[in-house]
Amino acid sequence: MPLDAYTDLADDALLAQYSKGDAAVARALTARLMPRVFGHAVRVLGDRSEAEDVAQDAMMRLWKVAPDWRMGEAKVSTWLYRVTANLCTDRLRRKRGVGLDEVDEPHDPSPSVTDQLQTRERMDALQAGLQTLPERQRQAVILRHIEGLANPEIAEILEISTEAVESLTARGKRALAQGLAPAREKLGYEDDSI
Amino acid sequence: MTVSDKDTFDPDMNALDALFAQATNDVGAQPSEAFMTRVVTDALAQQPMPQIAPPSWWAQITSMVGGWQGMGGLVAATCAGFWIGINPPEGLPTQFETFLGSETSISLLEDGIEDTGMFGFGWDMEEG
Repeated sequence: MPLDAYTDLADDALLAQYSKGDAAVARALTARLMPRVFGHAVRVLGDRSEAEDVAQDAMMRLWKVAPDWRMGEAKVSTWLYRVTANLCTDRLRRKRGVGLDEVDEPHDPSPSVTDQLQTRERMDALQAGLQTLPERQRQAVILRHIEGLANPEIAEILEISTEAVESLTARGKRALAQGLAPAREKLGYEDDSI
Repeated sequence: MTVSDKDTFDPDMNALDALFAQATNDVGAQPSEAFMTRVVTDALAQQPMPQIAPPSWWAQITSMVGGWQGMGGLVAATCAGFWIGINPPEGLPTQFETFLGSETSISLLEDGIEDTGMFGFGWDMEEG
């Protein structure tokens, strides 16, 4: 069955089918959830290899919990984001003390023309800016402004109040803007209306 | 002035919003094909085996008599037996006789052997 045949099914319905042994659903669920999990991990950790470890671990936990998943009780993506966020926190705690210069930055697998180079430069600058934020602020800013999640869902993921999420994202965004301000011209935002 | 109003007129915030919008579609934050394959392999290895429902009682019975063909033969034989039971052909005992049983006796003495004059060919009479 093609992967887009499952677009109408909710994540928990797919998970139930996965538990019944449908191999095609395993692929569909991976294609649907993996980019979000990996994207979050790579932005929080700033390292593709470590992000792969975290994302693989988070997905493995999902496969293991699938047979016991209770339909309609929790949102699969929220649960998965929470597992990913906690795994990232654990990694960062273990890595504490490692300087920013030693943290790898994500790279574009297919860099070519000038525009792509500028895009890459912007993404690298954003990534570097994110790395300067405290870990909880970073997670909140990524979930809110890049993953596009609503504050109540972020609160559930980070296991804090909605007010705390608002505070974290506001402070994080302000700190990021200040940190990136000197590079605004270099990054092409002076004459580039995106 | 609210925070959102301030954001709207703050060039740094606008630049940051543009950066976030680009980051949402950044291919650099996408997993590689090889990694996706690895995760799918994990998923398949962890996946429970497909559950096969046990056959129904009716399916079990039909399989005992040889499937639908055997079942057809059994039904045909039952119908034929029933028909023969209620309307037996000539020469077969009726249901009633079969159920109660019937005695059949053959009397050679009464049923004409004496009448034919064949009994001992009259020798017993001659010897007196």
